[in-house]
Amino acid sequence: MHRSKAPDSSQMSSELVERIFIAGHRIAAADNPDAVLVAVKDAITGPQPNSAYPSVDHCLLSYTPSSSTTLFKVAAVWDRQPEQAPKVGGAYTDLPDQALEAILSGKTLVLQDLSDIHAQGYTIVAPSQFSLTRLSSLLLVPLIAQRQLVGLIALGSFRENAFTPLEIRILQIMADEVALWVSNAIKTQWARPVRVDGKPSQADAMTAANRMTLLAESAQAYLSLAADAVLITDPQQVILSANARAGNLFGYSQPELVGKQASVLIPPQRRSENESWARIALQQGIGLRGETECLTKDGRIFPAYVTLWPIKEGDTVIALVEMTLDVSKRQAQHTTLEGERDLLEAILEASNDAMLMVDSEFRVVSANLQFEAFFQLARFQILNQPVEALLERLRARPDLPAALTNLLLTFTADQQTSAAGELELGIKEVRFLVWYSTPVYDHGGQLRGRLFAFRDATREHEVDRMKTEFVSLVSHELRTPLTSVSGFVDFILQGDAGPLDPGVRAYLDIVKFNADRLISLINDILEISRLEGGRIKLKRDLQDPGTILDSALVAIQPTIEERKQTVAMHVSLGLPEVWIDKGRLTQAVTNLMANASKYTPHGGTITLEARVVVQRSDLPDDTPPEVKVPAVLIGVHDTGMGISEADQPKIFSQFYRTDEVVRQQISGSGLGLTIVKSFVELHGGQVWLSSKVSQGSSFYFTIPLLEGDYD
Amino acid sequence: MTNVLIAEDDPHIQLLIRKQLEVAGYRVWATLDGEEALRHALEQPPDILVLDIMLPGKDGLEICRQVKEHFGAKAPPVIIISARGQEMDVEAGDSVGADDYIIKPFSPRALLEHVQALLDR
Repeated sequence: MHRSKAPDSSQMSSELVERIFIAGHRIAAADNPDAVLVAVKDAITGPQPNSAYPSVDHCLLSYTPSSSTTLFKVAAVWDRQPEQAPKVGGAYTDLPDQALEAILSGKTLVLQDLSDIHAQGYTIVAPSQFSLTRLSSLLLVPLIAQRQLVGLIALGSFRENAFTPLEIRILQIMADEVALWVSNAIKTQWARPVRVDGKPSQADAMTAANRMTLLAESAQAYLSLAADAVLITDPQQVILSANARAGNLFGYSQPELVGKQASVLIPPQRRSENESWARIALQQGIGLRGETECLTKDGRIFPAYVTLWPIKEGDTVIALVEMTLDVSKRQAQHTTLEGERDLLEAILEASNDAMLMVDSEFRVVSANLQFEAFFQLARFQILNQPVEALLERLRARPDLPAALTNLLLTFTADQQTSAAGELELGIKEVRFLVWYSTPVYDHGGQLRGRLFAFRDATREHEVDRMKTEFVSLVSHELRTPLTSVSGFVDFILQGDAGPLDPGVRAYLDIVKFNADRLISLINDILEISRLEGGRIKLKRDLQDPGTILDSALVAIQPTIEERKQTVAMHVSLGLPEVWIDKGRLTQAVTNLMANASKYTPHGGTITLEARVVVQRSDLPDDTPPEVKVPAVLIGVHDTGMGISEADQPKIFSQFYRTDEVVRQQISGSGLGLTIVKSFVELHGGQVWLSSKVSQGSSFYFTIPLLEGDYD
Repeated sequence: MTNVLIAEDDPHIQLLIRKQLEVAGYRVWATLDGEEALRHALEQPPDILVLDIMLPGKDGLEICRQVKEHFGAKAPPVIIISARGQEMDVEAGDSVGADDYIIKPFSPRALLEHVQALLDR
């Protein structure tokens, strides 16, 4: 009889596992190895012909390999007409020596096509309907316990290629278990009390009830480690045995459970359902499983997953195994997770930012509503598709910038970098998008993919542009009148407008001084506004750092002269040329020098130093640790009032002026150092200070050098 | 006598430049209007031009470009006065052939020095 393959072999396999284990519970205390093998055979072939394991036409089990290498004692033989099968089979197998050696050494033998072996003159047959028929495939799984071959599971089929890899694997796993049972049965058999007085031994005299108890106790021991709560009941659902887990789960002690109706563990409203399951299991001899609710001793109801399995002796169900798994945690987790996921999705959908998530397999796994809106892409077309498919859509769209495609191309596979930038979108109506992208790791540190987020910054962009225009306009409009004010004052002070009364000159000096203040304030504000807008582009070329010191000195000379100060120069010879914007760094040094002059008393000394720092030890003692070398170091030291430690961290902030400076009415906008810091940082350098109150201040900045830029 | 053409639409700044240059002995012709400045420059070429960028009629950069184009190698030097002094302006000035820039606000002496330096060249 040739049957087609079962449609779901994994389903079949899991049933097989279950059947064998149930058989194991049942025969765990058996003292007859033959009985073990028959039970396992029954489990493999199924209780009824129509629920049989379809790959198998014959199941042959043996527990003692014969001394003759070609013969196995067959413990049981089964075919599709059970009434015709001998209860204990004869010798049907005849195998080449090397195959038998393989089995004896513990190897599984899978012969999916026996025609070659038959051609060699061996006979491997099994009883079919009326005669012995050659088997076409044979699976032999040795049973090894404590490194001893204690038996063999032999499955035969009249078809070729009857066994799937999954079935083979499962049988191998089961074989370890079965081998243990056989081994135990062999030992029990040896230990069986011997008849000494002609009367039946205690074991022979066992009543059915005693056998049940023994069965239950053995099963209990066997199941004590099970994760499920396991109850064994009689057909009336009176509990015969419960494992430790069952006690914990239902809130009873194990002895308390024994003798109780299993239905007390089910809430009243679910009892009729439970009873109908039991009825089906009892009457039809089949196992059932499903979700229900259970009731603990203290009245708590929890959701459970229950498996009900009949244990049969012959055609009669003699017991039911009830396995209960508490799923409340799983459900709660499920509910919480679902709720959280819903919430997260709702948040994403409500977001004003467009978001796109690409998983680590480069598939689009999430895109929110705003993503659809920004890029006019239907989500159903891109979700769960490879990024490449999205890229193709983007490339085909003239209104979407290449920068967007490039952005996705550049970062999709990047597991490290977080990046941000701007995009211009649209042809007629231009919109500015600010984007950022970052790799996404879960709590376990596992890379989950990459997030791309886009925010419409058109409005901010516009406001920023207006601010820039405004500042530029105001600055222009202020400069024009100031040109006349300061220009004519200069003109008069130069004497070009005629002789000047010394008293009038003194007043005009004040006008001049304040006009200059206004001018530098306007210049600083304009510079800051450019810096803020990121619109400063450095005009770099290779320069000797000495030239910026010289230019700054020229610019600051009038102030120094006026205050009768001295500038001490400590500049190393042969400084390496650096790639800098000379104008900007000159201004940085000029600002520092102007401050130094301002805070150094009349007639005092300002020191200007410049040297190469290669190692950290070349840096001044109290240099912050983040300052990098190698670099050109430029320092400006004054001998002024110094800066308190409280003020030092804020000194580079916009418009920040120390209380002391304000109190002493020293003029300044509070922008000079902000500009220094910005210019230095644009060059990749760092700026810091070292100061002690009433001992003067030192301001330093670095211009980074590359290896090889210096000797 | 050295002739200087000034185009500056702010009358006070124009006066300041004029006064400073006249004190130094230059002959100054000044206008507030860009068109007029260009016409005058082409008809009676001065020895040097001082041009504001923003002018009614024609801006200083355009005047500079046309003067340089018209006179070629013999074109007079041009100083551009800019209120902004951004790189953009400097680059624009370079592209039209300006010889020097001076940024508002400026000291009249400094302007005079720039003029003298260009004429001595």
